[in-house]
Amino acid sequence: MLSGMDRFRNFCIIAHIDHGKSTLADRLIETTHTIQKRDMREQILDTMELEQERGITIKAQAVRMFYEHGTGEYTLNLIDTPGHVDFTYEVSRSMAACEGAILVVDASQGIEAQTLANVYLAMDNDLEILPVINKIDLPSARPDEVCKEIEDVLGLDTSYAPRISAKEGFGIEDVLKAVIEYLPAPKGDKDKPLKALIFDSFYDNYKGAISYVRIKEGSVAPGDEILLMAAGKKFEVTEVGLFSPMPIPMPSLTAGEVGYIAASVKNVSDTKVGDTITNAQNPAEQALPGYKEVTPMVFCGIYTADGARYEDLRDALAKLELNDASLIYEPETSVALGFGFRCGFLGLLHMEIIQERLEREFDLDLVTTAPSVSYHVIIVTGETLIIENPTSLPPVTSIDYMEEPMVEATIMTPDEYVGAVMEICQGKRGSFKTMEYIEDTRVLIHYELPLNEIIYDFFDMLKSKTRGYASLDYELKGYKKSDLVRLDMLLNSDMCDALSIVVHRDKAYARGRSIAEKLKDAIPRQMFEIPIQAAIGGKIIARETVKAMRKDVLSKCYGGDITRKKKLLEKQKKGKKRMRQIGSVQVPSEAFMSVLKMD
Amino acid sequence: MKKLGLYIHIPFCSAKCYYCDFISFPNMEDCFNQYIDALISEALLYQNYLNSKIVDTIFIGGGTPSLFSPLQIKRLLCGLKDVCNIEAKEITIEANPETLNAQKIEGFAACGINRLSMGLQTHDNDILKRIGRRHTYEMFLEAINIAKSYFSNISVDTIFALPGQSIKSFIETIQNLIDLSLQHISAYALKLEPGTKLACDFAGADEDTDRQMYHSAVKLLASAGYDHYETSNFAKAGFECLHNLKYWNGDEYLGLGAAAHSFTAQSKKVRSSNTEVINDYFKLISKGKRPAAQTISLSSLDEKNEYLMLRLRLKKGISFKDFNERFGCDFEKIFEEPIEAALKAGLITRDENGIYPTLRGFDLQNTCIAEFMKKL
Repeated sequence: MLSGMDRFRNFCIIAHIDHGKSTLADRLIETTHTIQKRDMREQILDTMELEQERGITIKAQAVRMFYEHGTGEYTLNLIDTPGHVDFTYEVSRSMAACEGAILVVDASQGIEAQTLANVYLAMDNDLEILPVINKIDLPSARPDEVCKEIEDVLGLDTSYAPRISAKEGFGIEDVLKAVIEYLPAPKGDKDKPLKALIFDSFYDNYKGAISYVRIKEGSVAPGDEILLMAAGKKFEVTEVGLFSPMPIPMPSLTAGEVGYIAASVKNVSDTKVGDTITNAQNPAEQALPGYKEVTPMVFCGIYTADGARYEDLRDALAKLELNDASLIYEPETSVALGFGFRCGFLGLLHMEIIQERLEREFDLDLVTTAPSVSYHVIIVTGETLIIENPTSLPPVTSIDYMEEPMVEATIMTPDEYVGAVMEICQGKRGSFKTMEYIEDTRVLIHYELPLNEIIYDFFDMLKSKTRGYASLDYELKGYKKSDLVRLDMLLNSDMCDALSIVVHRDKAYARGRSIAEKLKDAIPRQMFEIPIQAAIGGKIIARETVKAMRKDVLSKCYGGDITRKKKLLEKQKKGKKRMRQIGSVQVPSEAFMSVLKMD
Repeated sequence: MKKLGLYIHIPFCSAKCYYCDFISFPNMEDCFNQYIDALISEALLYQNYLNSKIVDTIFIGGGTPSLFSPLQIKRLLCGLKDVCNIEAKEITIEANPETLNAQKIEGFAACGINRLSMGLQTHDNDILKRIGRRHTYEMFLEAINIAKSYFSNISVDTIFALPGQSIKSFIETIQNLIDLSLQHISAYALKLEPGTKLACDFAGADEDTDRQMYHSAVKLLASAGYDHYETSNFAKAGFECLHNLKYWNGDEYLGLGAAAHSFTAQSKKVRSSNTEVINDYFKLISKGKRPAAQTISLSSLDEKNEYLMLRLRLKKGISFKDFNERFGCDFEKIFEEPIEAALKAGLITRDENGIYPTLRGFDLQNTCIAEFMKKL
């Protein structure tokens, strides 16, 4: 007879984007009758509008399911994790909360870069991996080949891998059975001091910051005093519970379980992902391994298109920060854009998500500056400055040298695009590491690349040059000395700080030219001719001209036209709200964004 | 007694030109007589107002007023004479070439019309076809040659930046009109109105071509002795359109007919417009009600805005003295900044009496006006 923990399975699902992770989660929830049919909808675990729309997971979620198999009922805890590289650390902590992972692989696409990255991450966390071959209903499905690929490349046994169609609801019971049979039960002593791993948190207006936890050792109940070991802060537990997937309060949580702890914590920054919660009176000697302070990788300035809405932007960022400890921001001012914030993000997707949420959930029109990374600037005195905003770069004369962050990029592509991929990487100042064939026609290429190049248009280029077939994953690999310069843009001889970027000297001419060309198209003709110049230091390296406006007149104005025309002119008088004044030049807010677009 | 311009709107056409978004109704010949009766009845509704005015200009516009027979026009003018004090220096009728013949032209002249405004648009027959005109250049020439023996004041409308029109072609149109020794020529930049047939199949000429056509015409007309007295209007000395000048000078005019607009100044200054629905117009008139659909009283700010907007269309520009007397304030003081800016940008010139738009000032008129309006 099995008892207690033996009847638990804690697992996550890993997959490349669009391989069917959320659909499989939906089917598991349906098949186990966790949610009544009438309450079911697609992507049930992705509660944010943005997640639903984009078909991605941004925030982790957990759900407890029951399933009868063999001799009795099992408790299955599914932790739904984000899959994107920006959230690698969060994903690794979600994985650390599990004993097993379902690896979903598309039967026609096979392994992709994200599949690999996530599988390696799961292996690092000692997870047992259950491969599941999805979309076998597709005419292009080639399950046998894909199984061989999984065995050859990942070294996983696929003999018991369920072959399913999550979309059609075919093979779902096989998955549930395999989870019970092949994934291990949790271990852990419920009598030892409490060790609970925080794998996510969210802010509730009434209960404060609520931690999503996996209890590794011991138990926790309301009234206990807890200690967050990395944060070094103590709180009294007000509520513990499980996810079904709505939170339901429980009398206690014990080792092996997945649930939540509420303890009137005011800030999500106190409940950091990866931190260990222990009992303050009977603390664990050591925290769980793997905790890391997350540091932002990508920065940009965020301003409101309508300068008067600065306060609204500040409030909106404060609200988002409540739920997102990895978002950091501080006020900054730009001559061009006025008051705004320099914000730090985990990566490009994170940045995009925050921008979109600000616009959508808070009804703001934003102007954002080009994304930047964090540079090390070693000045002549030997001191190192960390610069996240190109405009804060000290004068060239005081700089000894600069360093920029590097990443190790893994690109998977059909072999016919190897040439194209390598060309892109070389063009992006990459240095080639290794290349391996993972099957006859698919290749894994490793490059070391500056992050600064990745955040520009690398991904778009990769997708367009490989007709969408290549996939990318990357990992930060420290800093390297580099010949970097600040590229400034001048409009009618006035420098526009919001358009300054840091680039490698070899790239400066091309970027300067391309930005000048884009600005030329984005800035409407005005009463006078506007020279647009790109400059390094005082040296002009590119120039374009917005010709003077030629015509702005209504050629007919008779008795019946007067009222209408007056209204039109009054509107023109008020001016276009989204225009920014740079010196004597009117620049539409869109112009700042247009320079970010790919050629 | 105060002077008044009378505008008569004839909202009928045989078909719509492809660029036109005016209110006009085809196939309504049966109700022309009824419409004339209604116009006269409408004038009667303004009897008191009209008693205090002398009508010194009449403009019969459209639509295509020349669809009416001389007899009908005569009945209209006679009817109006009973209601208004007409001492008209200028009575204009708009005409399309295909509606004219010798008998009609003679008839119009005989009933007192002394100014003919013809719509030609271009001398290129292919373009005429493309923009939905129903006449050729030859038909225009035939009409104009007859008209010249009956009228000593003829105006012709042209449009530039048309589909398929080269700069050369437009200049040829203007030269042809100069050669005909006309008294008045209008040159309008094509404006693609949303929803018109032309807007659907023509993207519009580029700004540079548009302005080259305009500038070439301005130059050519000036050298032929035409005064560029308004943004799009050119006249031999003494042949400026008196009625249209009323619009730009802010003088009063009463509009009669469906969709006609009026500007009247009694206790306050009011802009009003009649209903555009022809049946509503008939109904309201038959009930003895004024057919105005919209009436706007102007605030003093409105008045100033309109003054800037309309005067900067004119070559004579803005007279400091006139503005200061009208509004009791100091023009040069209020508008110091935009005057300087516009001078610097070459949009105006100035002397001790006033400011005057330059050719570039005509090109960028809206920008220039908006800068001035900002100060109010």
